Amino acid sequence: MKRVPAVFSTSVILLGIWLSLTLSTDVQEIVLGVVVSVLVAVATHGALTGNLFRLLKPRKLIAAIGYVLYLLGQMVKANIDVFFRIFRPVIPLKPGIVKVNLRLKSERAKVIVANSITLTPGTITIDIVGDHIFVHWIFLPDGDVHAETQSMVDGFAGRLEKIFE
Amino acid sequence: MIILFVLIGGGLFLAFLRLILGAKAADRAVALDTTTLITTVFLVLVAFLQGRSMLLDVALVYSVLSFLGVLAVARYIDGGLR
Amino acid sequence: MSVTSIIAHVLTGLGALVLFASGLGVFRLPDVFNKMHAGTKATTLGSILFLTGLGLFEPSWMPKLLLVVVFIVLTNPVSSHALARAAHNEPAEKPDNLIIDDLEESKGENQ
Repeated sequence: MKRVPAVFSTSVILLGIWLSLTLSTDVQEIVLGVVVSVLVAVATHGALTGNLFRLLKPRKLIAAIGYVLYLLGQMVKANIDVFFRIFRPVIPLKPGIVKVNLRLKSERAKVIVANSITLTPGTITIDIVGDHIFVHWIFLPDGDVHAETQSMVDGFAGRLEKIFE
Repeated sequence: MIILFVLIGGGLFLAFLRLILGAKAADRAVALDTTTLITTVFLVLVAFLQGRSMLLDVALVYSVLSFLGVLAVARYIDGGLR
Repeated sequence: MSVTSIIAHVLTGLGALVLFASGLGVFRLPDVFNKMHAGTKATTLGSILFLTGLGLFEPSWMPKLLLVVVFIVLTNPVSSHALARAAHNEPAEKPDNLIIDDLEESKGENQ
């Protein structure tokens, strides 16, 4: 019985995917979609999305929207960075892999942080081992490399902590 | 529209050239990742130019299969199932 | 020319430019990890811009295009992460120009 909200939110997401795939308002299609998405959600115990209803509080919803906007801004910056790097005659490179701490309880939040770091300027995630994350820089920042990286990672982790806690 | 076609086709060509020339297996895998993603976008552009919405489904399935393909190549480089 | 059409032209043009830059980056950058920077970031934003731009041209395709966009944003970093880890684990594939390599040191500690 504990899995009911998770199963319900998984089936809502699956139904949304089905409706945007078929793009029809035919009753037969919608009924088939409802049946299949509920069956899949029950069979997987709702493991695809987990319980999404915890997100439906105004404070968390605002935090989630803020995170998406922050990520989009970082992605635009990253692409401007990549763009001007590539068209130079000699590409400036100073690569290195840096290890920093990542203290988040939820595994799902760790995956989101790793994927976000891959999309931000000059950094990609190589690996996560326990509470540590390994970040590859295309051009190492001046000064203390570990402190710079830690503040960059904490920028994401701090924002995510407000959503998952 | 011709400019879009040339730009995306040029990116696809360069990534594909790296896929053929690539010095090591991992370079080729990265080039494969880029090539399949640009191909997905290219398919959507062709669907738009010809007005055939069926090609959108092809692009969707192609993106799923290319993701699985790249994961399989990554496992192979890593030394197979261990 | 309506406003929507102008926005759509700008988005598709920028997207195509970014996709071209990603192809050029994968061709020009020297080793695996640096190639990955161009091959992941630029293709993700390029396809977001291009597909939403095409969706503005043809509004009835928008839901399906957004599905493709969401799928690309979710899977592209994952595949690059898998490739990066594989390339680092295999000594023959690892580039030798890294200035700092904390991952190699921490592997030594575990053994």
